[in-house]
Formats: sequence, C-alpha cells, structure tokens
Amino acid sequence: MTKHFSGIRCSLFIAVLCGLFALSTLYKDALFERSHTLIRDLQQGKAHDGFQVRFMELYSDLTEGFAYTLGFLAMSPFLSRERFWYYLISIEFACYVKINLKMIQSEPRPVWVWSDLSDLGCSSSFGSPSGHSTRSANLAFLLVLDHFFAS
Amino acid sequence: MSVSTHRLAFGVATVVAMTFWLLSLLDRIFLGKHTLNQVVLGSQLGIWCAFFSHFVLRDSIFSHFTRITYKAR
Repeated sequence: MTKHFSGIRCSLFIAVLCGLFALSTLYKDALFERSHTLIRDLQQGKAHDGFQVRFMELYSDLTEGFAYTLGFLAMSPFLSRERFWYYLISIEFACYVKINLKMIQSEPRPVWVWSDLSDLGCSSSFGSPSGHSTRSANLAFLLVLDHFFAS
Repeated sequence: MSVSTHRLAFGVATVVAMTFWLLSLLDRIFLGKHTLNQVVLGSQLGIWCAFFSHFVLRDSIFSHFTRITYKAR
C-alpha cells in the first residue's frame, strides 16, 4: 500500500494548500464586502415561494452529500471496483478536509452578518469554505484528471 | 462497453459535473448561504483535493483493490 506513496509529493501538496490559504487572505475581505451588494441585488424582487427560489433550493438539496452517495451507488454497476472505491475515498477525503477547515476558519455565513439579506433555508455550520463548492469542484476535476491524465 | 462509448460517457459526465459545479457557485450565493470568497476558497479546496487524490492516492488505492480482488479469487 505504501509502495506508491511519495512523502515528498505529499509534502509538496500540503505546501500548495498552505499557499492557497495564504493567497485567500489577500482577496478575502474585499470579496466578503462585495458579496453584500451582490447577494442583495440577486435576491431583490424575488418572492420566497417563487419559481427561481424554489429551483435554487431544490438544486441546493440535490447537491448535498447524500445525493452524491446515492449517485455513486447508482453508478457502481458501471464502474470497476477500483475506480468506484477511488472516487468514494476521494470524495470522502474532500469532505473530511472541508469539515476540519470550516472549524478552523470559523467564518460566519452572510445572513449571520447582514440582517437585510434573506436566509433562504437553514444552515447551522460555519461558512468557509463552501461545502457544496468543494464537493462539486472535486468531482468535476476528479473526472477530468481520471479521463485525460490517467496512467 | 466499447472504448469509444466509454470515452463518450466519461466526456458527458465531465461536462455535466462542470455545469453542476458552476451552477452550485451561483446557487449558494443566490440563497445567501455563502459569500464570494467562501465559494472561491471551496472551489480551490475541491480542485486541490482532486489533484491530491489523483497524483498521491490513486495508484495506492488502485493497486490495493486490485490485490485484494486477486487474493479473493
């Protein structure tokens, strides 16, 4: 199991992750403040029970963790055993990293900070990094890398 | 499944996953769940995890499951 595992490569990736976090401090405050007007403009004039809001809420529910698990179970007959476990472990690894970073960052969600924004739905965990973005970006790039750069 | 069908299925899945990703960013901002910096950081983290899994974990996972499947037979 450890034959292919390269310590140097692993250290390099961790250094890149630290670099990404250092980089995020440069744009964090500016984007956070900019988000206030952006979210307000997006939500302006939208009824809570309107089609657009309902569609977005449904889409948000569909991209939760359990939907990914169900999707992978449905895909399992079409994937090789190795590939199935590789995807599953990779996605769970991303979730594990994301949950820990949320606790470390402890950044509030926008509706906790600005009372004039509508909270469409309910969230109890911290905001940064976004779990939906992490999961969906992870899956998209896993497929790209597995498709184009598989040895 | 032939190689060309396999590649086509993979290509379609990739396009769908990319669309899902971009729509997720808009969705989370629209619902007021996240700010721009949070979705950007989340995407960076997701991409980092994909690269880490591919270049560090993939070969180990594949060889491990190949070995235990072979042993079981």
